[in-house]
Amino acid sequence: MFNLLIHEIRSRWRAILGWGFGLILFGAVYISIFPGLFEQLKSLKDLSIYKLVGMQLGSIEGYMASVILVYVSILLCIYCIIASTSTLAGEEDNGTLELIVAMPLSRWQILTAKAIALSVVALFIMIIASIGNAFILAVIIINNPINVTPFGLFIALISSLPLAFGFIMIGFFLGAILPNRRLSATVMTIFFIASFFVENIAGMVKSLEPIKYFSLFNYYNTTKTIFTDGAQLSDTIILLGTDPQN
Amino acid sequence: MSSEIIIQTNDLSVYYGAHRGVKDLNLSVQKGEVFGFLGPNGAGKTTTQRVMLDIIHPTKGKSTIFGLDCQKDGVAIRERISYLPGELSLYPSMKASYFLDLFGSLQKNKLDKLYLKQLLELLNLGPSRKIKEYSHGNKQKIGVIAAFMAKKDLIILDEPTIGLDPLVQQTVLELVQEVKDEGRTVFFSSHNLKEVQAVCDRVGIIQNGELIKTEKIATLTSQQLKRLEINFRKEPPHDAFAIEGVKEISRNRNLVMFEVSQDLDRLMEKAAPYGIIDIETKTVSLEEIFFAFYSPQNKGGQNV
Repeated sequence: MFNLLIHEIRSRWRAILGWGFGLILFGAVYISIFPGLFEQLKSLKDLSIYKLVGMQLGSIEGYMASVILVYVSILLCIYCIIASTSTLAGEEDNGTLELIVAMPLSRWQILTAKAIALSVVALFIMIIASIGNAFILAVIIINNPINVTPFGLFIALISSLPLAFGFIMIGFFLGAILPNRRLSATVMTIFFIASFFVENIAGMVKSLEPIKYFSLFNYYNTTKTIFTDGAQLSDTIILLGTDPQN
Repeated sequence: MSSEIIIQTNDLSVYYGAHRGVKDLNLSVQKGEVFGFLGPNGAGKTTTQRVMLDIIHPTKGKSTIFGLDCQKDGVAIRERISYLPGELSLYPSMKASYFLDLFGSLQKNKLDKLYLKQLLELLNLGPSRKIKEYSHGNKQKIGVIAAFMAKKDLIILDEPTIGLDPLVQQTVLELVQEVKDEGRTVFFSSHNLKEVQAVCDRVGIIQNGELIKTEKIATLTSQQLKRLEINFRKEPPHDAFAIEGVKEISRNRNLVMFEVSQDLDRLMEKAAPYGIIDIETKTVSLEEIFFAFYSPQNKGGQNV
C-alpha cells in the first residue's frame, strides 16, 4: 500500500509545481494591485453584488480575506475535485484500474492510498502557494503597512486545507459510486458551485441562514478575523469529518 | 500434474442487470495444469476471470482458488496470482521500467530482478522508454512480462499473444510451458486455437455464458470429431448416409470423406453394403472442433 501511495504522489509532481506556482502567481497579481485598487473601492457605494460572490471590500483585511483566501481556496478545491473524481473513475475509464485491483491489495487499501496521496499533494500545493503569497505580502507591506502579517496570511491559507480535504473525500466517494468520470465530475461541480453560493446568499439573507450549514464553505473562515484568530477548531473537525473513512 | 484442485467454481452465475455474464458455471483446474478457456467474444470468459480475481462479485454460486473463497479471501488469493487482462491498458506516461518496478513492488513476494532481466532479454524489450512510445505489440510484451515476472502459483492469461509477432508468440508459449514444468498452474484464455492446442492440457469451451464442454485436448482431438475417407468398391447413392452425427463433406466417385461426431458403428453398418476397400482417418484440429461446436446447426455442440 505504501508503494502505491508513493507512486500516486510521485505521479502528481507536475501538478504540485504547476498548481503551487500558479496559485503564487494568482496571489501576486491580487496582492500587488490592492494598494491602488483599495482607493478606487472606497468610492463604491453598493457593495452587495460583491458580497454575493464572497467579497468583503470594506477594508484591506476584508479584501485580502475575500479575494486571496476565497479564490486561492476555490482554485485549490477545483484541482482537488478534478483529481479526486478522476482518480478512480478515470482509472476505470482508462482500463488501468483492472491492473491495480488485481494486485494483492484490498479495496480500502487502494482507496486509502489514493485519498491520502491526493491529500498530501494538496498539502504540498498549499505549502508552496502559502509561502509564495506570504513572501509577496512581505515585500508589498514594506511601503503599505496593513494589519495582515505574512505569517497570518500563511496560516490563513493553510487553514483552507480541511476544506480541500472535504472536497477530496466527497470527490472520491462520488468517483467510486458513480459509473464514470464525467458524471462524477458533473455532480461534484454542481455540489461545489451550490456550496459556494449557498454560503454567500445565506450570509446576505437572514431567513436563509440555516441552510449555510449545508455548505462546506461555511466551515472555512474567509473573513478578516482569520488573520488574527486563525481557523476555528470546530470548523476544521467538521470539514475533516466529511472523510468517509473517519 | 497433481490432483490438487487450484480453481473451482460451483454454479457460478453473474448477471449484469438483465444481461447474462456467466450461468451455472462449474469448472475445476488442477495444480500444474495449463487450462485453456475457449469461447467467442461475449461468451463470459473475462467475466469468469474477473470473479476469480474478485474484481466483480457473482450473482450466485461460488468460486474458490487454492481452497480459498474468491470473494472473502481476495487479497490472500491475489498474493499468489498474476493476471494479464485481455484489454490491456497501461499508464501511457510511465516508463516501462517504472511500471514493472511499481507492479513488482505491489506484489507480496520479493521480485527476482535477475528473472525480470531475463524476461526483458527473452522478449527483446528495452524498458527505458515511456509506454506511450511503444508499439501495440511491445505494450503487450510489457503486460506479459508483468504477468510472468513475479513467479506466482497461478497465472491467469487473457489473450496473452494478441498483437504479438509469431516469434514472440512462440516465446510466450514457451514461457507458459516453463511455468507448467515448474508445477505451477496457468489459466489460459484465448481465441487462438492453435496455441491452445500447443500448450494446454485441458480445455473448457464456453458459449453464451455456459460451459458446454470440458475435455483433455488429446481426447477432444482424437475422439470427439473424426474425419474418415472411405474408398468404396461401388459408388454409394447420395442419401445413403443420412445418419445423425455423420456428415458427408466431399465425394469423388467412390472416394467419400465423412466427418463423424459419434461412434462409427452406424456408419460402418451403412457403408458395408457398398464394399469398403480402404479407410483412412484424418487428423482433426482443435480449430475444426471448435467451429463444429459453434456451427449454427450444432447448438452448443451436443452432437459433437
